[in-house]
Amino acid sequence: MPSSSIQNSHINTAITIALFIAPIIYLSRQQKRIAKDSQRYKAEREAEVAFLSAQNSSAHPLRPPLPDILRRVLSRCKFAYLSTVDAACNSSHLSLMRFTYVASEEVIIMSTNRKTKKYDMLEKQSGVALLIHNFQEVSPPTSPKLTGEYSITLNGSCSVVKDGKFVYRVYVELYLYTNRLYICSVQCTAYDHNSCLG
Amino acid sequence: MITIVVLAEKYRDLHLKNNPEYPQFIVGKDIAMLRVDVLSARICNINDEVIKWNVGSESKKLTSQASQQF
Repeated sequence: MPSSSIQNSHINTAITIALFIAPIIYLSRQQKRIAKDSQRYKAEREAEVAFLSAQNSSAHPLRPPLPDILRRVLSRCKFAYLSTVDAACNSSHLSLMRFTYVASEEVIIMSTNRKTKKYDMLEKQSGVALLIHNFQEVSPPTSPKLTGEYSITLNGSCSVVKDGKFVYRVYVELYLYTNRLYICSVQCTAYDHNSCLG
Repeated sequence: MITIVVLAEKYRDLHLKNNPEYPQFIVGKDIAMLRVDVLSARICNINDEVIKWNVGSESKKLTSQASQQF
């Protein structure tokens, strides 16, 4: 048998083995990752349940920073009902919104068309309420499960973020109540190098 | 810490990354970005166990000053 043919036969064997083994390794790693993630979600969920039960009887509201359970639910959810004040009609207005929770700043961001009723109302009155529920849905095994067991009501001050350049000042200060470092204020001012850096 | 950023665009990018299926509500010249500074929160589970949270009066003052400047 010529040597080139032996070489080819070895290459073919190697390719066959690689094609057979590679998917097995890939699937096994994926399974391990899924098992690890689901173990983590289970531990997180148990911690959430225990935390909620322990704090339930407390008469005093918690202080900043936001508890982990709130942060986690806000990070997993995407839909919120936004309530705005309709002062002209002496009533309120509801809108279904997609939102994003920015954990580093502890703010909720949303978007809206400027030619809408809620935008007009927000320009007049910044006080809003948000209702968020982690509706159960079919999610990929690698992403956090929405369990459909929590509802969050938030009250806050809603502002329209202006376009253009801003100097973004983050003050990391104050040991607020919990004696833990907390980003207590994110202050933005119109871009003016002299006044802001002075 | 001071950084110069286009804040509305930073938020728009984040929001679009989180909701890639809905660019029609996020990108466009008439679309405004909204930012909600959370002042108080309540979380309730299916057993009607509730936790209340709020920023407290000092932080509330700072937050309202900050949001007025957007």
